Amino acid sequence: MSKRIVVDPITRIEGHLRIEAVLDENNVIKDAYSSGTMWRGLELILKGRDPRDAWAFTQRICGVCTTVHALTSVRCVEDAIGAQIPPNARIIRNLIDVTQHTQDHLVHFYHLHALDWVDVVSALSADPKETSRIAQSLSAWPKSSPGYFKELQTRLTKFVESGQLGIFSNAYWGHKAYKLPAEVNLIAVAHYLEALDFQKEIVKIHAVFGGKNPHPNYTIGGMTCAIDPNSDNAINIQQLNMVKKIIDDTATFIDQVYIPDLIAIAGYYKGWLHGEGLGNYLSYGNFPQTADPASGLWPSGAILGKDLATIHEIDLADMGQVQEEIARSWYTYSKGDQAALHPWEGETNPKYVGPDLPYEYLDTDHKYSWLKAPRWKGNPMEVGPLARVLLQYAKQEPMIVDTVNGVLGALDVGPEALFSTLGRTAARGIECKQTAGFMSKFYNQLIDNIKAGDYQVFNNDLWDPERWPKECKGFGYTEAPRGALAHWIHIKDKKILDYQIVVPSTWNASPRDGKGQPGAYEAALANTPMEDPEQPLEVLRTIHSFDPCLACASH
Amino acid sequence: MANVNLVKERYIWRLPVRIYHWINAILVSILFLTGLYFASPLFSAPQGGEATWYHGMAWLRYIHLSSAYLFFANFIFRMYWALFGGDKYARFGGFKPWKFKWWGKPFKEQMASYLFLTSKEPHYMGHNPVAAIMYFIFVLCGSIIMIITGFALYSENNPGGFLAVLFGWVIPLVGSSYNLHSIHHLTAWLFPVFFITHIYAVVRHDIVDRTSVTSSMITGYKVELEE
Amino acid sequence: MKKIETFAGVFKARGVERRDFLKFCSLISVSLGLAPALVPRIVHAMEHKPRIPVLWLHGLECTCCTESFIRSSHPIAADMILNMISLDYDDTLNAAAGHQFEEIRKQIMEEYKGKYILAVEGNAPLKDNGVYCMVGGQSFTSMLKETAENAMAVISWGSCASFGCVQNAKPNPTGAVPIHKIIKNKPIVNVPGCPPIAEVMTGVITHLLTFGKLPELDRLNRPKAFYGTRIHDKCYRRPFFDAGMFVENFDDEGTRKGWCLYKMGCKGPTTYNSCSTIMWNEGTSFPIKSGHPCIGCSEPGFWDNGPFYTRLAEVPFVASDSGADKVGMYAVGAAAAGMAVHAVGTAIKKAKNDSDSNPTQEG
Ligand code: HEM
Ligand code: HEM
Ligand code: NFV
Ligand code: SF4
Ligand code: SF4
Ligand code: F3S
Ligand SMILES: [Mg+2]
Repeated sequence: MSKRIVVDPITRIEGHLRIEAVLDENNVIKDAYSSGTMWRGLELILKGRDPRDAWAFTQRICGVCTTVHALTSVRCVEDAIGAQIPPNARIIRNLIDVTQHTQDHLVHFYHLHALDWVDVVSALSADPKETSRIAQSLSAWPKSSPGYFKELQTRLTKFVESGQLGIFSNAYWGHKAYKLPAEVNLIAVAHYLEALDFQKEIVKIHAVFGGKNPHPNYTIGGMTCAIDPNSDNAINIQQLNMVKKIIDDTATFIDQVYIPDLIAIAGYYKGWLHGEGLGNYLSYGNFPQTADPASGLWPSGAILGKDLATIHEIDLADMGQVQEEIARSWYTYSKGDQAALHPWEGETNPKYVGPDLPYEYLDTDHKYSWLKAPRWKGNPMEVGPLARVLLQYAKQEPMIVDTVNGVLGALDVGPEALFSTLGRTAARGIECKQTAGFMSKFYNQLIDNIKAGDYQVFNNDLWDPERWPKECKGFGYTEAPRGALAHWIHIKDKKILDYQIVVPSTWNASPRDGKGQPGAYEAALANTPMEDPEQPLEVLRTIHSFDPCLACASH
Repeated sequence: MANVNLVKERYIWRLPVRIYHWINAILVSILFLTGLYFASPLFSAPQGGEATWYHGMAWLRYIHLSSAYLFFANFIFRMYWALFGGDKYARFGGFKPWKFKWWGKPFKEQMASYLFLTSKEPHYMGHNPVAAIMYFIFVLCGSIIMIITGFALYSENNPGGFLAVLFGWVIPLVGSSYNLHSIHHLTAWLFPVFFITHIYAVVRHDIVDRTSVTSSMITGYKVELEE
Repeated sequence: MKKIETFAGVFKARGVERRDFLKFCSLISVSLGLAPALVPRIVHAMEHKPRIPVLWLHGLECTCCTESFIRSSHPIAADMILNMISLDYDDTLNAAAGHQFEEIRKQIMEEYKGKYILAVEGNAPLKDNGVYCMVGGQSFTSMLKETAENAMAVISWGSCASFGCVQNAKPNPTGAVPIHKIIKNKPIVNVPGCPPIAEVMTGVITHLLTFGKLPELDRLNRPKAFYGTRIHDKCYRRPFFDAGMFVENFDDEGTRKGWCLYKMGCKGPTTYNSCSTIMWNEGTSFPIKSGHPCIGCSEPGFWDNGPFYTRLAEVPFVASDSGADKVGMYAVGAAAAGMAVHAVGTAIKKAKNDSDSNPTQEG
């Protein structure tokens, strides 16, 4: 006898996501359905507006991965009108972007994902001395004395005894799937709080160059943050020093807290290798080093069926590659709902045909989500840190090969372990170490340029829309923390005629397509055994390993 | 030129009206020009200078705001004169555009004349009904809107202050401070539109009915001529 | 024995006098519409009841308000959510999911009737029965109404909840409306900004906890403490504005010297917020400091006041691409042309019937 469970809302994500799963008699997931239950209509709101404003609108798609849509949008408009930006602007944008990756991954690991593996209540019974011993064996991070953990434990006890558990209320504490010893749980809780405090430091880099975080400022043609080492009203050495200090502190935090925690926690779960999913991976590449967008430090390419030996090339302008389907989504297409449209001919016509509200179950045999189903040459693809790490691993990028091998070695598992929920989580950590390194790389590039007397951050040539072509098309892309992100624009008479956005979480959280192929979440949930279907911890683990963002996904 | 006789000379625009008129004309011009300028300043101060040496924008604001107070006082004065001045040609008199009857024969005749539909040219010693409706829309309503929105804008400098108590309600009414600026700015354009039609009408009447309208706002006298 | 942290305890720890605490209790009774005679009972409840529960709902939004909130430096977010309030229900941070998560909300609504704060991030779509935002199979709109029913007060986080924000920009495809359009019978504090500044968010809550009452609000229900004056009135570039020294393009001398951004479309003169005083990210910067004009992100309807890089918006209904000055100039042009044509007509007519005489009437 099969039964259907519903997890709605999925918490510790961004936006509104619903999972329905069909279990067999052994409580193993047979089929899963991922439904995005919100939609705002940004693609429609953008029509008719000044393309120079698009970055601000698209940035409001998401405040968690804030910045990436703005960046993609300015790249998209610049591509369409043919604008060039000065090298400093490119470097600063890279620096803002890579800062976002690092901070986003850190917040994801501790605040959005850790509680799937860490039992907060169990930490109450830890022995502070033993906790300290373990912590010191893991890393040189100074906050590791017995007294430190004792004090934390006392605070935690008082908190729990107040009877008001706040964000920890009614959770799955004591669930059989939790495997960490009490002491490791206590370390994780300590670092949960430390990371909550530290993440806000990292984004100060956004404030320096973009005025604020969340939602720093961009502009077409470069950046507005003037650089002049001899001005008291521009980026000068004082601000650069601040950036430098944050970068150094961040690298330390990643090296001494995040990575050791990741390895320590993963060590207790290496038997839990579910959640493989599609085996198809896609990445657009990012962090261009020259004016050529393809000059990125991160490569682009697609992997099909886990075949790392064959990297497929991708082309976002090719009408036959990236396409969106809506056969199972609450939209219609003028060419019929079975059509697959490239974003340059894309349409956004909402049409809800789901059950009347309130409902118990969605009609998963028909349309069931506010997400479109993006496909690459007809294939559903997984995007995100795992895709990027696999691609770099396949391309033998030395830093990635070393780190991946180091982590796999420390855990004593083979490379096949990467194709799993835990692999996804590990890839994010590995990548975070890489991005922390990129932060100082880009900082140094900026300093070198300034030293050489290049202060320019903005190019005014195409600021005035009078100088634009009467009609033009373009696209812009980046790798966002959650994966491959691109925007496509069609400009006519200085206004936006059409704007289409295909987002990482749209790929990952997509519903089925016209051929019935599941999206990445749906595929990854299949075959997962559940300890207790009433307490869907396993569902949360796998879904969280993708770091869902549903406001992004449906926009 | 044909022979002309001076038929009648009538004292129409008494001093208070004339004073109001010219003060108003000057202030409106100042307000319009300064307002437009600080909405989109054309020039930047010479590069390389220190901000403390220049006060261009601050001065313009100062001029606009002091003119605004005078404009307001002048307007109040004219309202007083209309209501209590006992001046036949300066009161609102029969001006009742909300009554259907007001739009009747005199208005139609004057309109027909302006539209060349009739060869008859009605003569008025005070305002003709079409002129009256123009003054009503452009000057009376326009001034009231500018005063209310203007003081609401000014009140933003000191939220909670005296002006904000009097005019602060305007902001939520129009939605936002931004909308308030937009309305004040857009309404400002009523004045040059009026200005052009007004000067044209005045000069035209001078030529067509030869009542020396133009100088009447200086001397106060309208004359009637006969050939 | 279990030591329970109560409201009274928290107040005392924060140096609040009993008198203020009592005032706080009567505020609650007023907001509940209770008779003054019941105040002592509320006082008793507060003294023996724990930290103030906060239910934080997410509607149509981008979660940047939560992100901003956790950037707070004083107090830091951890302190806020673990020691000062009891953040019992928040999609972004709660450990529980699905029905276990929903149970928390129902339980607090029941157990803390009239004593919890409802914080809302994002807003609600009214079109098509609310299908554009659904939580647990229910429309967000109905969930919002349900949760507001027994709330003590409502905090509308961000421009979404306060004024509508981006999803409410034209053509507002989902019929999204701000919270005060749906909840009418509760005290509502609007904390606009896209997002609001972190310390403003934690400031609003700690104001309540420390002084025992909601902060004073302005005409748009914004706390005067943070939205009292415009960015422009306290902007460090204001001397350049007054002097008429403007950035003309983002690559000119004025940009590097930090001149006023007015001509690049700065909305500081029409925007009420604390950016130019408190600043962002622990005082690191704010948009204008980074050389970008303020886009007015805490103002009602700011998305439709574009294009952002011009100071005055296109005039609605007239034609796209037409600012007030263009419309005005067209009107003046039309008047001038009309008069010119009329002058010609007059001349022709005058030539035709020069000898007609017309009677003079009294005006
Ligand atoms: C912005 C500038 C001006 C404004 C706002 C303005 C406004 C007015 C108003 C409100 C009246 C009605 C008088 C009353 O009842 O108080 C009026 C009448 C008059 N104005 Fe002006 N005026 C302006 C400029 C001028 C100029 C430059 C002239 C001279 C060429 C002029 C000549 C007259 C005359 C002759 C009348 C009497 C017309 C009649 O019989 O109705 N005005 N004006
Ligand atoms: C015929 C009358 C008036 C005209 C034509 C006029 C015109 C203007 C214009 C075009 C602006 C620029 C609006 C913008 O784009 O932001 C402006 C701003 C302003 N006006 Fe007036 N105005 C008039 C009367 C008044 C009055 C009676 C007041 C009352 C105090 C006033 C106070 C202001 C203020 C405070 C501003 C904003 C200045 C700033 O942005 O710093 N105006 N006016
Ligand atoms: N999916 C997604 Fe984003 C990311 N990373 C955007 O492009 O989170 Ni809001
Ligand atoms: S107010 Fe702005 S920042 Fe906050 S949720 Fe809405 S769109 Fe995001
Ligand atoms: S930069 Fe903006 S807020 Fe600052 S003085 Fe200039 S116009 Fe005002
Ligand atoms: S854009 Fe927003 S962040 Fe502040 S400076 Fe303007 S209100
Ligand atoms: Mg899209």
